[in-house]
Amino acid sequence: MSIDLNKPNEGNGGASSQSASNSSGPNYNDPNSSAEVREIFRFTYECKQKKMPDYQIEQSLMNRGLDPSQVASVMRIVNQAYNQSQASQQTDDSSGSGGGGIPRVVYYIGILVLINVLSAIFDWGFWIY
Amino acid sequence: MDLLNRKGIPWLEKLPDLLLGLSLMSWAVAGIVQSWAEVSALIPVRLSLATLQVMVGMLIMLRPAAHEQGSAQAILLSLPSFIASGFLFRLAQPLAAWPFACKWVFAGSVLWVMAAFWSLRGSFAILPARRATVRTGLYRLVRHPAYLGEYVMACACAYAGASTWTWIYLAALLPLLVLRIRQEEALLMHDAAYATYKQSTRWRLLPGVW
Repeated sequence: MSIDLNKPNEGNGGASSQSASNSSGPNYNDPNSSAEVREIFRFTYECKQKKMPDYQIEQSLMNRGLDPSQVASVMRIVNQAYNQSQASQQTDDSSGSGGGGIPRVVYYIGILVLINVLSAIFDWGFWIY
Repeated sequence: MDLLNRKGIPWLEKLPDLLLGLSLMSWAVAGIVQSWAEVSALIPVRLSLATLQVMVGMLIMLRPAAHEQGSAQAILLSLPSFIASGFLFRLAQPLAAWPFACKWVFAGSVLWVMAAFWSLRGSFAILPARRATVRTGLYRLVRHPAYLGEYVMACACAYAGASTWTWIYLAALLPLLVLRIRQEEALLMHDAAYATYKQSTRWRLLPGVW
């Protein structure tokens, strides 16, 4: 199987997290990439969304005929897109106060105060770290 | 400041870790101040505990960002074991009345835990999170040596407290710890290196038992 994984990267370094979260990776919407490459990125991204372990995804890609360097390349790109998508979702969900929710910093401060109070109640003892 | 910015982490994202680390260090100081008048409480229990708290504080402040954070469910299921030891320590007061053997078993366990944390260093985490797999030091013997040491610390507390409640908490702590280990390992298994490590280091907590 001969796949040019470099092709979909050209001129498309930063797909938005919005497009990534709509079950598309950073490259396979590129009209210049082949259907085969798009399918590989789509498959890999869906595996990530299903929380499949990386090593199982890598094995699946190898079974599809990719060599280890191609697998590493696909995983790197998809992981980057997936992490961006997750970070963007978290930001939308809980950071700042623009969305009307409680800002994340308030949670942090609340938790910090709580564990400090508990620690004082427990005579500054040990926790299972 | 460079430490806070390493690997491109903005310093603001490190702020929670920084505050948590400082909190742990302040607990070490508060504990020593509380036991300062009684040398028998200070040495070795309070001093060893303070050393452990300072080390945990440093590790939290200096650790890199996790590759993957645990789910809210995994975090919630891990919390009870985290807190149970606090109750045990509270019930085992006063420290000055602890039997001699309990004090030194506690201090020895703290050293064991610190050795495990030293092996972890950048992979240290309190709540479920995936960082680089560690297989050196005590991690060659069991996959969770720190929990083993901390459970022995809890045993020393329960024996020193010698009340029905301390024994109840100690008995409850074990299944809570098992639950926490299962949550952590489910996340760590996303890493092929951990799957390999799991095959080479068979036992989780106690060699030959589990």
